[in-house]
Amino acid sequence: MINKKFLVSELTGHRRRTVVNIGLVALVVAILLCITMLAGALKLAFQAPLHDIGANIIVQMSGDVPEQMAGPVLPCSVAPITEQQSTDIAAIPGIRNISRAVLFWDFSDEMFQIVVGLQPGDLAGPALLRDAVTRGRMLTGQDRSQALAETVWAAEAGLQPGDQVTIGGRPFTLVGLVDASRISKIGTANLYIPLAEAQAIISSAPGVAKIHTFTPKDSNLLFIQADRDKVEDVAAEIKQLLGDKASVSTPNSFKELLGSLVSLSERFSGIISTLVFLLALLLISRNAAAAIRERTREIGIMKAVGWTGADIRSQLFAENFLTIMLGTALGLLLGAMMAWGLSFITIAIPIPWDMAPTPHFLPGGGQQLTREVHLQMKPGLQLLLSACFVPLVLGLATVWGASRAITRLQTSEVLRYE
Amino acid sequence: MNNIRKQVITARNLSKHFGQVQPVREVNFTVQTGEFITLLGPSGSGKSTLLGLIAGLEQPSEGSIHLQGREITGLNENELALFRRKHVGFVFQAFHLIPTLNSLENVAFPLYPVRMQEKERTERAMALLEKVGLKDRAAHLPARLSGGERQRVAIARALINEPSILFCDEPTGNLDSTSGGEILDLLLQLNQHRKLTIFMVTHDKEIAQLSHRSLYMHDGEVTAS
Repeated sequence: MINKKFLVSELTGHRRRTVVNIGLVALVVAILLCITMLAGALKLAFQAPLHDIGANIIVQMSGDVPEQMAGPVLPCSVAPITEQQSTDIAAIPGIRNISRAVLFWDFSDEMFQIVVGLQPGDLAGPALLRDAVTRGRMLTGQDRSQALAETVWAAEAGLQPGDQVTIGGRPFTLVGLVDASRISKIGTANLYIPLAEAQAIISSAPGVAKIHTFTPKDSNLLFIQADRDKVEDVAAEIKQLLGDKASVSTPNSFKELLGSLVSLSERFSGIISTLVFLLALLLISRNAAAAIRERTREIGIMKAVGWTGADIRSQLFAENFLTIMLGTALGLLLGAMMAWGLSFITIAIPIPWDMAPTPHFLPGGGQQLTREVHLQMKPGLQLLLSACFVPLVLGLATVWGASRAITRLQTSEVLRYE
Repeated sequence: MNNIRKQVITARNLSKHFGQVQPVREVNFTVQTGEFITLLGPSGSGKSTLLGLIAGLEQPSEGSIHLQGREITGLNENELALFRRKHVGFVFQAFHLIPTLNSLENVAFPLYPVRMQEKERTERAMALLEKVGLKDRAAHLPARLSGGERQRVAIARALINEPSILFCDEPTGNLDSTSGGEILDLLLQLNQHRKLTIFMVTHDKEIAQLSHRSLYMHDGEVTAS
């Protein structure tokens, strides 16, 4: 039977002990939460650039540099991927969806433009621009000679919906403006046209034909949605299928670009979390056992005046339950505050040049593109449950075990304890 | 000396070993209901160990103890605790009060695990505090009480379960002579008016002279009674 008066008097009477116990549990829970959330946030950050564009794998082929920068040409990072190769890739287990695109540079006497051919109904890739239309409308499946222009580029060029533009020598009418930066920095362009039109332009472009074979069914950018747990396996299989010239990007590719320190810390975050977790458990356990040992003589008094082992254990159990629960609640609050503070940190994920190729001779062409990502410190349900229940179960198990050991001793032995 | 009815404590061939050390050897004695017995002897003679054995705080290595007609030698720790709760009260030299509980709560402490109304528990504790002259100190924590007052609280706590035997381990050992005298008076009153059996370990021969009978211990043996 638990006596509430004694419970409260013990917790308030030994204020320092109570505060230390609550504080320790709180600290352990808060650190545990933060480290685990930070590891999760880093993982999410690496996924962000690809996640923006609705894919977790991007496939490109590297090829030769165009002989001459005239008319439509393919940048060296986006050589053709044949229709057959696309079909073979689609058959790899774990792939849920593939979106194809064609990216090319279009040079004329007066100007240069980056053009992407897309299928408006696709689930990934540039088709997601449908969510970034700032004026006019998105391309539809029926459009042929219609195009979208990137907002900033269009403003610089003085273009607006309804205006005519020439791409690969063919006339297109602008039907809308899109803010590409809203969705991604991968595969961005100045102009977006239907995929079939881009394929037709590239397959008949003399500058392309000199170094590539490109049929009207081919593409040069694949945006793939694969099962999350199979991403790396699928990527490896694609690489094997396409050979050495294939460039297959996954969230890991971005992690590697961030450098060894971040990569190392992310790689070892699991180990660090586990170590912190074990250390936390050890601390809680040792603290709970010490709290019982500290009360050995008091337990002797209880026994001497007629408290049974079960009476004593219930009382100590209740005291520690309350202490750990308060510590856990405080730890969750503290952890949430620390996580909130950390969520203001942004990290810049570099976007490889070959994913958004711009000729180096143009202003800004050699600049490193980055995607600024806020750390998303989100606790999972499993983490919250672990943070709540593990200290509680462990603390109470220790209290139970330690108090059981003491209550089994002969009363005079416990009373003699110094 | 009147109203001696029956044997309340019986120790037969009682021995205790701690490895090679044998603080209690082949002890035999009996105590009658209502007796005030003192156990005398030099330090290290085994007095406190013997008290622990007959009070059920410790298990003997050999021999048997009967308290209130029940053999307690074979009882486990829980059974012993329940037996103590019902029949036995303790007063220790070091008081052994719970520092976070006030006087009233300390007195009621043995009843905490017992299912009863809080009001009843408080009334019983308050009545005992009044009896030991500490009603006005009911809300004081042990740290704010004098040594004599603490021991009076400890005596009140020992009486809360209305025990038939009170075991005292040098109850005046930590007190000045005035406080010690007051405590002794209180114990004598309890023995005389409530017919409470008292078994007291002491160094003090003056106290022994006030008791009905004294047992002398030397090198683990009770040498005279």
